[in-house]
Amino acid sequence: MEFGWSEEEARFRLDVRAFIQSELSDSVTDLVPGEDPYSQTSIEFCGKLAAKGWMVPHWPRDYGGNDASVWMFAILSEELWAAGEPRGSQYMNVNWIGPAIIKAGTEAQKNQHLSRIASGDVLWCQGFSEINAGSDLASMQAHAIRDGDDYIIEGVKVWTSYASKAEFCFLLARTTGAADAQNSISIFLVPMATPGVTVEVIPTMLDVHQVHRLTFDKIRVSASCRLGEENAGWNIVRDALSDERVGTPRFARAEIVLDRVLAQIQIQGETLHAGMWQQAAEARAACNAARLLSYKVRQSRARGMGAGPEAYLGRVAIVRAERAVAELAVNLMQEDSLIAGSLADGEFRTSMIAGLGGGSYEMQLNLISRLWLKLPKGS
Amino acid sequence: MDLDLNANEEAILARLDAIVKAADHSLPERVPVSGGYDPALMEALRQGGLLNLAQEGAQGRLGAMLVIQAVAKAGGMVPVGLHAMLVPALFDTQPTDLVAIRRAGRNVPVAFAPYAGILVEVGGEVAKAYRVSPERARTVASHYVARRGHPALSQSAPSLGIWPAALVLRRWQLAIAGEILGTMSGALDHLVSYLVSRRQFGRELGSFQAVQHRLAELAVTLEALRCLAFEGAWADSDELAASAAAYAASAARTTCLEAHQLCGAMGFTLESGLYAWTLRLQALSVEAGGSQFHALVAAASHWDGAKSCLSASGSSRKGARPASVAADLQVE
Repeated sequence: MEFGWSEEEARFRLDVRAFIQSELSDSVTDLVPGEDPYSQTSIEFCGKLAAKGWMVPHWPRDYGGNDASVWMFAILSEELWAAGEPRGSQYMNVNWIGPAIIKAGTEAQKNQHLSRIASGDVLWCQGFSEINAGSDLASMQAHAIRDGDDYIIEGVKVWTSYASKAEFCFLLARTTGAADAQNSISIFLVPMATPGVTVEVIPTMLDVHQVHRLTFDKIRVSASCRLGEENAGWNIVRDALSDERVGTPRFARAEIVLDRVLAQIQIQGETLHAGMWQQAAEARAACNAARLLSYKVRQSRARGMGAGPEAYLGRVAIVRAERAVAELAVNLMQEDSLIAGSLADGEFRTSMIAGLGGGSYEMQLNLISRLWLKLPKGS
Repeated sequence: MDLDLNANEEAILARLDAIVKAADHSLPERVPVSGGYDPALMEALRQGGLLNLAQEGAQGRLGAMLVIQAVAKAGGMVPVGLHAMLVPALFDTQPTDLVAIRRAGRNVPVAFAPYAGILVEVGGEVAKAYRVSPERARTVASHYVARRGHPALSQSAPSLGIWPAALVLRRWQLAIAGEILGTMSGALDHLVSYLVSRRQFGRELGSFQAVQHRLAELAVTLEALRCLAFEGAWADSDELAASAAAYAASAARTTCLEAHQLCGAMGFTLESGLYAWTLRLQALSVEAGGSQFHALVAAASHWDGAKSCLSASGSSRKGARPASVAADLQVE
C-alpha cells in the first residue's frame, strides 16, 4: 500500500488548480446545471481543457487521449468537481459514454464520436429512466423495432439532465419482448436533431439542477446508430455505469463547501461550540472515506478488473459524505439556509440529488448485499 | 497511490495467520466476558517480530496496522494496538512488561491494567511512562472482555521516558482505530454467517431486504474505516489519526447495537460468540475519550477555530478534571 502522491502527480494537481483559477470565472458556481448558460460555459471551458490535453488524458492515444494514469485522471476530476464541475454534462462523455463507445463501438462510431468528445465540443444526455422504470431500469417500455436498415424508436424518457442543448442521446430501448428483461435492451446513439425528438423541461423544486422529459415519437434512426449487438445493451451499460458510480467525486466539492460554510460562520463573528466542530470533523472524515473508496474502484478498473461491487460501496460513501456536509451546513446556517442560493441551500438540494443520480442509494445497498456480502436473494 | 497489498504485506498476513490459528481455541475460553489476557499470543507476536514493524517508517506503520486488525479480528485477547503502534515509538525494543495507557488526570478504568507493568500517561503537552505493579492494580468489575482496573501508580515512581503528547495520542488513536477495524470485521463476518443460516418465515433472515440494507450499511462503514485507518497509519498525522479514531469509535457503537438487534436473543448467548466482538467494540468506542474527543482533536488539527474548543473542553488533552475527581486518582 502507498497513500502518497508522486511528485509528478502533486505537481499536476497544482497545475490543474492554476489552470482553473485562470480560465474559469467564479460565476460558474452560480449557474444551474442543465440550463443553457451552463451548457455554453461547458463548451467554452472544455475547449480550453482539450487544448491542454486534459479532456480525456486517460484514454488511449489512438482515441485522442494520452494514456495518462488513473491517478492523473482522478486528480483532474477532483479538482474540476471542487470548482463546480465546469465540464457540465461532458464529464459523462469522458467518464463512460466515450469508454463505452471505445469498447463496443464500430470504427465508424468511434470516428464520428470520439474525436469530438476528446475536443470538448459535443454535449450528450442519457435516455435511461422512464416514468415506470427508475430503479427498475430493466422494465423500460421504450422500444425500437427494426425496419430494414433503420430502427423505429418510440418511448418517453424522464428526469434527464442536460438534454436541452445535447447533440446526442445515449438511449436505451427494448428491441425484443420483455420476457428476458435484461437481454432485450439495446443502446442507440441518437442525434437529438432527429425529427420526432422533443425535449421539455420538467418543473422541479431543484433550482440547482434542471431535468427534462424526452419524447421519441416513432423516430427513424439508422441501424448504424446502435452501439454493440442487438439486445446486448444491458451488459454494456452496466459496465459503463460502474465507472459512473464513482466518476462524480462529489466529496471534493463537499469538502470545499464544508470549509466555506465554517469560514462564513466565523466571519459573521459566531462562535461554534464543540459539538459543531465534532460534526465538522465527522463530515470531513466522511469525505475522505469516500475519496479513498473511490480510489479503490479506480485502481481495480485500471487493472482491467470488471465491474466489481466496490463501485457500489464507493457510491454509498459518496452520498453519505454529501449528506454529512449538507446536514452540518444547515445546522450551522439555520434560518439562513432557507435563503435561495445560500451555501447551505445549494448543498442541501445537491445532497438530495446525490442519493438518486447515477442509481439510487437503495439499489447500491441491494447490490452490496448480493455481490459483496453474498447474501441470498429475496423471494 | 496504491491501495492493494504488496508482497511484504501479504507475507505479514501469512505469518499472522499461522500465529492466530495456533491461538484459536473455543471462544468462551479465549474471550471470557469478564475479561482475560492471552500471554501466549502476546509472546508469539513478540517472538514473530510482528510488534516492532512500526519502527520502519510509513510502510512499517501500515504493517503494524495489518497486525492490529488481524489479531483483533480473531478476537485476540492482547493489547495489540498499543504494542504494535505505540510502543515502537517509545522504546527501542518491546518491553517484557505489558503496557497500559490513560489520559493524565482521568480516573477511569484502564484496559489490561491488572496485567500491565508499565503505564503511559498522556498529558496536555507531554506523555510519560512509569513502572507499575500489576498485582497492586485495583481491578474493577466489568463485562467488556478485556480485564480493566486502576493502575497503582506511585507518586514517587521515576519516569521511564518523556515524549510529546501529540505523538503518543495519535499512535493510541491509530491503535484504537485498528482494533475497532479488526473487531468490526470479525463481528460482521459472524453476523452474516448467522443470518444466512438462520431461517424464519420459511427463508433465510439474510434474504430480507430490511436486514440486507442494514448489513450493507455496516459493510460500507467497515470498508470506509479500513481506508481511514490505513491512511492514518501511513500519514501518522494528528488529524488523520484522530479522524480515523473518531470514525472508528462511532462505527463501533453502531455495530455493537446493530449486530445484537439483527441476531435477536441468540446473540446474547455465550454459545453464539457474538459477544466476543460486540462487547469489545463497545469498550473500544469509549477508550481515550470516545468519538467526540477524537473528533474534536481532528477538528482542532485542521481548523484553527476549533483549537479553543479543544483546550476548553472537559475532555481536552490536558485532561482538566474537577478537583474532587482528581483527588480520587489511584496514587499511593
